[in-house]
Amino acid sequence: MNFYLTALLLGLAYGLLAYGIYISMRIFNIPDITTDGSFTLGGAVTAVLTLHAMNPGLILPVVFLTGAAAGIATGWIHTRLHVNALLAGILVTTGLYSINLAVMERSNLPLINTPSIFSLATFSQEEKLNQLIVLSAITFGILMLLRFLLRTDFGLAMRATGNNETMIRALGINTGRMKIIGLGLANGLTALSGYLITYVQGYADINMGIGIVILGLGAVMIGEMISGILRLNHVGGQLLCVVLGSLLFRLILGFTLSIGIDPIYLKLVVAVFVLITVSLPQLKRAA
Amino acid sequence: MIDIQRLHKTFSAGNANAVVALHDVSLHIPRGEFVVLLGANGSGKSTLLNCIAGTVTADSGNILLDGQDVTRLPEFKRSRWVSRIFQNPSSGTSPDLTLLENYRLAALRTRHFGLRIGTTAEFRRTVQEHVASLGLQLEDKLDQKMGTFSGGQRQALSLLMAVADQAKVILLDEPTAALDPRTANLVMELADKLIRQHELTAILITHQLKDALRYGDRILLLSDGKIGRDLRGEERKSLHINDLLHWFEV
Repeated sequence: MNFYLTALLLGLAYGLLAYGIYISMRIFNIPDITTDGSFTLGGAVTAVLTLHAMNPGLILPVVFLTGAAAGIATGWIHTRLHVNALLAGILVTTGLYSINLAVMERSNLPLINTPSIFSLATFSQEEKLNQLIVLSAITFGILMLLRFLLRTDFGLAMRATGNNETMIRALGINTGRMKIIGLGLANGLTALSGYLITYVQGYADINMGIGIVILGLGAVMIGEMISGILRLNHVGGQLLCVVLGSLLFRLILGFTLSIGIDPIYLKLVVAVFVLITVSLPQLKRAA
Repeated sequence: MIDIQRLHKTFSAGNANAVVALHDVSLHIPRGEFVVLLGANGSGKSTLLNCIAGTVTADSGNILLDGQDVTRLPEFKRSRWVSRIFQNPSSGTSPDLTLLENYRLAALRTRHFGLRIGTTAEFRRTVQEHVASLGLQLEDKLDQKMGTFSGGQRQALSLLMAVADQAKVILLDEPTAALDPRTANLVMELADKLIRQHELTAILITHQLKDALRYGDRILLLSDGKIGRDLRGEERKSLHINDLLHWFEV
């Protein structure tokens, strides 16, 4: 029971990362690697501000904004300096490693006996259950916000920017600006995921973001498989499936570890699993 | 409505492969005139159209729309005046958005894309009426993704979307080149009807000489980046298809 509960907690906390990837890679069609850096940035800012006794509720918007700044930097480099999106993201992530280290002042910051987002609201005396309730509420809130945003006129223009740039530019949209906003939003959400993970595991680490982009991508793709099977075409359904994808991905990884696979091979398992998910349509066609 | 003054454009200038696409082109198109632009491949037709739309920046010369100099304005800022129909039907619409959502975007061409939900029940009814006027039985498919419609349907919807917001100028770059003859006719008839109905200033690029004779008030022939012929009024009316064929032979 405890084992699955932990998987659920991580799945929800990584769900916001999956939203970040969904926005950058699926809506805007930009392979954004800033994720690795902005996730750690979220964790670093959370840990440092918590240790400076800032209210965790106030840390949340600060984390979102710092993550957004990282995404805006990538977007600016990509659209204004015309640097390939992948390279722009790698540059920002590389730079962020130093910034994160400077923010944390050392490579690991444990949070012991400090307040967290979970100590702000107590719904249950059982610690993990309380975390589950708080994480579910935050995830649901962000799902509803995104669902609204993507259905507004601005949101339609965002979706069309990634879908048909020629058309949307002819309709009067500054697509460069739109991509900068999109990457800002995506990395703001990614940083929030780092914020939640830091509180769930009780520490921030300079390496917590390494290879994290693949976790988000895996979750998004499992989510798309689910929405494909359930034939959910509308925005709300797809957003829900992305979180479900994140949960399922965590459960699968947890299960893999529980059957006795050495944790050393965890990243290999992740890579192989994502590869299978990506190539499934191709394999089906070949069969 | 459209004033073009000594427009010049060279691609890969200073290079052995330099191509002069437009050579000191000057042109005045009054409000409500429907111009058909003819010319061989490489004659500069598309460059001229792209300069007006803003996807290509001219080396020198000026472009005025409705009296305002737009020469240096980026493409997305020209949507206040210009709506476009592309050769490729999939260029004019967003395949993963629904018909209704596409229409909503087009309806905001000259306006602000705000944080409100614009696809309301009232908007849906308006779109339904407009789409029904096409007679393509698409009015019950507003929630279908644009990518699921045929090229002809998408091109017809693109035309409708071009006039969804107050349009002044419409640029059509071989809008029927990817369509079968019957659908091509339907789309051209629709284009003509909408252009007249909304009193649009229009420029149509086509290689269909029959269309060039059937539609429009004025025929321009571009050759080697210059205006070779410019016929309107009686001269235009007395043109025969053999005259046009002859133009292309010399």
